[in-house]
Amino acid sequence: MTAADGVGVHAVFAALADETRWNILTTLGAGDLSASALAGMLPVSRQAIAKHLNVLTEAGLVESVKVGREIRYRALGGRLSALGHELERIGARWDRSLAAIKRLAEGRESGR
Amino acid sequence: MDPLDITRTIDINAPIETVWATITEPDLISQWFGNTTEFDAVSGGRGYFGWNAHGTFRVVVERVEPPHTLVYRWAHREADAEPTPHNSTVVCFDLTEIDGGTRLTLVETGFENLSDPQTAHGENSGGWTAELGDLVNYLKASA
Repeated sequence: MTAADGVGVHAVFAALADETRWNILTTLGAGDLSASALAGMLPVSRQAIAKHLNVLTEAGLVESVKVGREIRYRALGGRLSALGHELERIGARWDRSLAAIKRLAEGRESGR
Repeated sequence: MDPLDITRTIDINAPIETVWATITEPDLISQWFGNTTEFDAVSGGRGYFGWNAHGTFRVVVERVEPPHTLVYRWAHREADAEPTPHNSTVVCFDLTEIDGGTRLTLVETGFENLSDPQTAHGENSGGWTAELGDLVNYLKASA
């Protein structure tokens, strides 16, 4: 169990609707890093990194792990899957709707 | 553009006025979206999209520029409720004339403001890189 269990997929949307957080997440995707290491790699202050990591942790996208005396952050998969599925579902719904609009409009045209 | 927006484009071999009618006239909307429609394509116009199996979902038109732009907010997360940022998203249809017909571009935005606890439990482990790859591919494909 993590603090994020029970958080809706829309918390994930909110967490990712920020370019810096997206960059943090993709950077962590390549490997676990401490907040200081992240601050050294991204054009963002250490303080801002900490805030963003909090949001990502609450959304269940990131967890902290203790390695010796250092706290590192790790990107987590499940939330992204849920987000991906949600976007896919909505996109597929529009694909069907737009195909129907096309059929309908072209049908009305040829029926004139 | 926000990477979480849904964006779709389709080319239609019909004049722009025909496509405009298809996305704004209630009896035509019902043929591609839901089962029953009440829709008033004027700025501030109100109505609903109805599904026999799910109920009716209110819609408020935010912007209309015939025959090019239609923007509405619809509360698809809550049946029979007034649209708010927490239960609705904004859909924008943009029509442009192209050689032989009409290009329709659709953008749906506002997912980050939804407060819907529906999809709760995910497995918070492993496979992150592959999943991110899938997501990025998906976003690229839809861009």
